[in-house]
Amino acid sequence: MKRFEKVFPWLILVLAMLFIVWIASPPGAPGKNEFDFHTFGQLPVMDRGRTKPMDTVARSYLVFLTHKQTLKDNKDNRQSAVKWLLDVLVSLPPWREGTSFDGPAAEYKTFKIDNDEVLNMLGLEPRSGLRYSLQEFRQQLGPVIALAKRASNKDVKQRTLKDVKLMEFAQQLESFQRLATYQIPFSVPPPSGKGDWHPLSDYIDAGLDVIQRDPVAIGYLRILSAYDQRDARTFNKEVRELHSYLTEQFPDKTADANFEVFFNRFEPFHHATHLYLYALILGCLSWIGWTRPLNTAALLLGFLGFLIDSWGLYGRMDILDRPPVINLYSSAVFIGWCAAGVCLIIELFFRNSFSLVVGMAVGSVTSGIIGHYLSLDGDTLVMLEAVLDTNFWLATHVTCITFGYAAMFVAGFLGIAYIIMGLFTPLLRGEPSAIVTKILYGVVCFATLLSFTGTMLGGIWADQSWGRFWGWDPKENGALLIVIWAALILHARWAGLIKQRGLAMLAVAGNIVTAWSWFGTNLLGIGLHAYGFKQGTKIALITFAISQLVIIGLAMIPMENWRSFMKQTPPPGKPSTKSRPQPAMSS
Amino acid sequence: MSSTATQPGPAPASLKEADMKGALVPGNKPRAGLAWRILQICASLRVTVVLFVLSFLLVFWGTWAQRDESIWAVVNSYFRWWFVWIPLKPLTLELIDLPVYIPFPGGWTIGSLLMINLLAAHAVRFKLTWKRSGIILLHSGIVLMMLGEFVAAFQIEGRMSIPEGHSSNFIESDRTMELALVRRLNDKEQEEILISGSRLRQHDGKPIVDPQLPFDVEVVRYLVNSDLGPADLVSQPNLATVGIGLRQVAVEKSETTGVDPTQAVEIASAYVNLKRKDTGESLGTYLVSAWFSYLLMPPETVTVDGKKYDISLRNKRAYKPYTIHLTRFTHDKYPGTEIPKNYQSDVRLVDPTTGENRLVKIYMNNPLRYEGETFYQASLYPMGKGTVLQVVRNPGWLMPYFSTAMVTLGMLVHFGIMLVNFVNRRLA
Repeated sequence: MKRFEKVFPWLILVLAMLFIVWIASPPGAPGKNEFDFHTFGQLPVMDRGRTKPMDTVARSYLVFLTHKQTLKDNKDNRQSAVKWLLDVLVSLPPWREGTSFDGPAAEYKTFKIDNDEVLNMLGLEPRSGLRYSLQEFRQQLGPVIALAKRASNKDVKQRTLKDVKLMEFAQQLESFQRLATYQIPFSVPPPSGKGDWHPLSDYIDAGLDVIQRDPVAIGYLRILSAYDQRDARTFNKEVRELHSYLTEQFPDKTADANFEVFFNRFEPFHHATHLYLYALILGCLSWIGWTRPLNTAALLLGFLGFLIDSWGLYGRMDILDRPPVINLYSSAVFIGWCAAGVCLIIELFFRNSFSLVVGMAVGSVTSGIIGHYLSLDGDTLVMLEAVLDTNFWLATHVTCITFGYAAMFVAGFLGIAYIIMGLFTPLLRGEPSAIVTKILYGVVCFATLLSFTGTMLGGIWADQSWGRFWGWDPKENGALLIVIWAALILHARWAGLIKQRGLAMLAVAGNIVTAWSWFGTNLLGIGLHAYGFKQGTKIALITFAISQLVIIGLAMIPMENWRSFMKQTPPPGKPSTKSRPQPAMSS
Repeated sequence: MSSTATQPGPAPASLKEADMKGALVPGNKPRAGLAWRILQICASLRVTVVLFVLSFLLVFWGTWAQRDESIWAVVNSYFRWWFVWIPLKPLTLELIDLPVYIPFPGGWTIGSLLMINLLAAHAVRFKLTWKRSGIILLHSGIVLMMLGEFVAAFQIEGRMSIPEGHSSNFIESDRTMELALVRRLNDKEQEEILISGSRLRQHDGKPIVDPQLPFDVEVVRYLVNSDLGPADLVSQPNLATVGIGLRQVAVEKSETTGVDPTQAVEIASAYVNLKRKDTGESLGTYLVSAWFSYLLMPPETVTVDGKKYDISLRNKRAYKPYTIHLTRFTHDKYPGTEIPKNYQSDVRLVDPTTGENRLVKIYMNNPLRYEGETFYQASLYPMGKGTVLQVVRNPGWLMPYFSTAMVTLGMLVHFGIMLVNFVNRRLA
């Protein structure tokens, strides 16, 4: 049994690693009559300002339309994004007469329409998932598009929710239409290697002569017509020829595209989140019994997840040639990574599963849930506006301040852990409560340092760009609120105004402050800083704030009613615990 | 570290408390006297915490207020003033229109009190030890930072707008307008008679009289922020009786709020009726607008007794001894998108007083610093090619750089010492 206790954690680790290796292994070659979607997905194209593989184009537009990562056809079979894209590309090909989009692309339920009025105008009934196919609503499109156009001409402040939703729908349609008519992506590289990429539609407009002179343009048309005729053999042959031609001409871009396809398929953040969740569960179980083996297993899984998370961040940085945080999505992923990393390191010192569980919780919630939600806009690897186009400040100010958010959340969740565990379990009795408090206090110090430095570096950046260090704009103020709150916690502690419980409560309130700085200021308006406003964010933010207030409210219950600090009959050889425990110092 | 041994109990808190209440710890000589007592109250950490709470609320309210007001109005009423009346409406999440306001200390007040609190704290508890070196450094940095913000409140901001191929030798104020009546005297000289925007905004119906002008100016309407539209398409009575105003109408636009996504510059317009001094006869009601210069339209002119005046509503100008010539303005976008990649102004700086004559590239995050002024790439012409440079004069611009470094270093030292002690204790 002793031996098994030693081996068990490593057994878990090996199993997890085997699973990861299995996920990461390349797909097998397609069968005789199967299309080689994988190689088609690797073809590099230019879209929204950067070269990327067709696979990313397919995934990001599919996500933009459906708000989901995966697609099921009408027979409930899971379809890859690349297959969907190919179906879109042959829905109204130039060699076919006609004016309407046909085939599977018109039948997939790819349009997410979540507004009752828009649905009603399109003659649709609300149904589970709220996704509809082009076929279902194409008769009613005319007036809806006219209304959407009118909405987009309105002043931003005058727009109603319906207007916004109409415009969203119109954008979805436009994306679909531009994809299907080859206006996006820009798939034909400049023949000489220098100059602009062009969409295939330019070549089609220019006529057959021009197309035939360009190996890429003609290659794509051959591929698409083979796909249209369900001729897998020709399709595969042409795809591979085009791929090797592009590899020869643009070795760097093709290599990057191949890497990105691997990155897309591997989904590092997805797996990291899952590993964090398993670590979280094992960490919680370790409190019930079999403590050491479970804790070690959780720690190992956590580190494996962290490794994959780190690789994912590195992959994003490598693809874009940018520091880790460039938009709201990447800030969520980065917060998850920081929180997991910091907590895993703390756990190495204390091994009581507290910081482990907290870190895994913050890591999986931000990186997994919030990140997933924020990724539904389409491609998350975006190009940056001129003022943001500076790796130095992105690497310093943005990274620092986002790390500060992560530290504040870790502190806040440690506070939650303190309150919940203290109230409902006896786990904090004695030394643990002092240890958790010390960790919490240390993390708040760390958060103060990062938030302050990050905020002020932002000021210096602003001074470099606009000639003013501090302009009291909403996002700056949001960051300042975190700094003030962190400083307030520390000074209140030093003044003796708060002790263990007060520290935990203020740290939980810090969660609200941080969430406000992260999302709330974006709700007030959309400025340079405000990169991600979405419907629903407001409700999520208010719900989160209320949940935190409830936890703070719970903490107001007198300490003698907390399970960890209740008076108990002293076990033999131990003095009774006081209602307000004096943390036992080791020294 | 001697205090560690003598002070058991909740570690960081009581350690700190002992430290902070230095005067009360046995061993330090107790000092009596009212002044000392007051100083001690001023130095109290409880006061610090209360002030932090107040500043937290002020910053929050000052952010919320930017939903309705311009960022500058908020900065001047919340942060760079002594007190402010804050609305209670945000407490109801804007669901109820609660017209109740309560007085609240403004940025100057809280800042001054924090400063007193901080200085008093160090006066009471000053001890030059390694253990406190971090705190002293970081608090000095905070003092410097607050002073920096105080100095910055008096910084002068303006902008220089130059169409491509043109030059400029003046800086325009961002927010102050003036009505300029300009008469050319000869090739080199001109007479400028200026009426400030604040006088234009006073709608008291009295004409503005200037002894140098052969006519009086009566402001018929003043629009703080405006758009221009063709007269035949805009359904509002046209106030103008002569000039461009017959074809173009100024339409009122709401003032820019702090959270406005575009943060557009306000562009004013006005209708002015010019009346001859001698006969009182109207020379006509003119439309004047800051839009005209953006659209590169010539100013309105009026001729009285052979004297020809250009009339224009423009941002208040400050003339400089040097000239900046815009040779080229570039505005790159990422291929296939509308995302701006770079704005750049290639300018030639010519200063006859110093003999400077050089080419400078001004682009995002790369300003030109000259003669105490800093020129930043801020914006571009709404139409046509031209650059808008933000010009700032802030003698204290380096203060935040130093203070940030000091505070960061101070925190690293202080928290570093704490961490080392903690680890040592754990190892022991």
